Amino acid sequence: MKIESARALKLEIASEVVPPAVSAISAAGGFSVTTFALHKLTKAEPLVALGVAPGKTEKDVRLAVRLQRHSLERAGALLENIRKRAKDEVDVRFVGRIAKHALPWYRQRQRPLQPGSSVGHFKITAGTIGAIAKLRKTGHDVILSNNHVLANENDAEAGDAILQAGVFDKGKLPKDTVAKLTKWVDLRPNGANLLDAAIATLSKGIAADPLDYKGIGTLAGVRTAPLSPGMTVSKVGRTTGVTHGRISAIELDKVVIQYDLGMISFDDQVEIESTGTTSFSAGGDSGSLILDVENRGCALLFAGSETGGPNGRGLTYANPIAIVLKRLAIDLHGD
Amino acid sequence: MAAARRAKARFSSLVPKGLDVVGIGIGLKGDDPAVKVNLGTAPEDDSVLPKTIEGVPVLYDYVGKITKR
Repeated sequence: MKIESARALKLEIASEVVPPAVSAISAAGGFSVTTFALHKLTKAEPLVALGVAPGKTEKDVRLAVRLQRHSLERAGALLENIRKRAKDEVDVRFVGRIAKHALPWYRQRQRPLQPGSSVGHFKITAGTIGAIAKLRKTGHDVILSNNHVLANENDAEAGDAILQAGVFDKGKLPKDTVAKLTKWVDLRPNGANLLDAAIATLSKGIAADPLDYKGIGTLAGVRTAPLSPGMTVSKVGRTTGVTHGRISAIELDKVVIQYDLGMISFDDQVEIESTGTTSFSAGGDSGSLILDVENRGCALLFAGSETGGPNGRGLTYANPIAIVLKRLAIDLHGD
Repeated sequence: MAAARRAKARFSSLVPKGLDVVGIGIGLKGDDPAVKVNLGTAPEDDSVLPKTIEGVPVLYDYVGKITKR
């Protein structure tokens, strides 16, 4: 049938065929009910979804009927009536209840704060808590992530609210404020940069779990030995969760990266390729701490490409951790 | 590693200006250090790209655009 006919038929069946069939089932004893909390009960009852499915040729379509109740599947008169009106140009399937996929833990609110989970300045979407570090001077706990995650690419003020989860993950002011922006290293559009990093001091009463890198293990402090190509690493981040990779280059200079500020060049960076079936990182993983095989922090993830690398899955870029800790005057827990 | 660092330092003097380099560092070829050059776009004529510098292999990778994550 033509798509216009399918659309008209959808409306006709939704208004003239489905309601009497549902009433008939209700009169005969009703639908079965699944037990769940009352507060989750809504007025939207899963019954029949109608749409348009591909036909036998590219120009042809069929009416799509998706049944969400077995009672409807067994109601022969309903399907017979639909088939008759659609002249049998119909694709009927039982799909049951359709549930939304549960969000992974790293995109949800986490208390105590968890490394690897969603975070961000209140004006950005979301990045990742790389670490809960401690200020060298006072010992106060801070969130370590990127400038572009916590300081909005230099467009922020000390004291600005940091949300967990980040705004993109439904974090809201003021209830999800967990820290105040404290210090960042400016990104410079002219000249070579060495890092994209910032810290935010935890607000009173906000607890954190600095050593627990879910899915990887316990943080064992900072790696002091030099990084070398071929080293195995891992990370947990807000978008791709736990991933594993290998250092494909060190001492990488002239790394040109696209920011909202413009193209920014970095020197002395670390490059990582994935050893898994997916990319090592994706947008939103910024700020993740990269760990070596002994779970020592060795680099701060901040950028990536969609192509390149031996498997073509793209490459990830990170600042060596030593310069990050030095410039922000912080230490990792676990030392 | 020292030889690879020397070769990396020489690279820019050996290739034509305008090459779309978006990163140059030290990688591995097999078990040996190599110069790794990332290119945003492929050059019109890749015969201008040196395969070794002072005996150190040079690896080229077309990585396209790199963006903040």
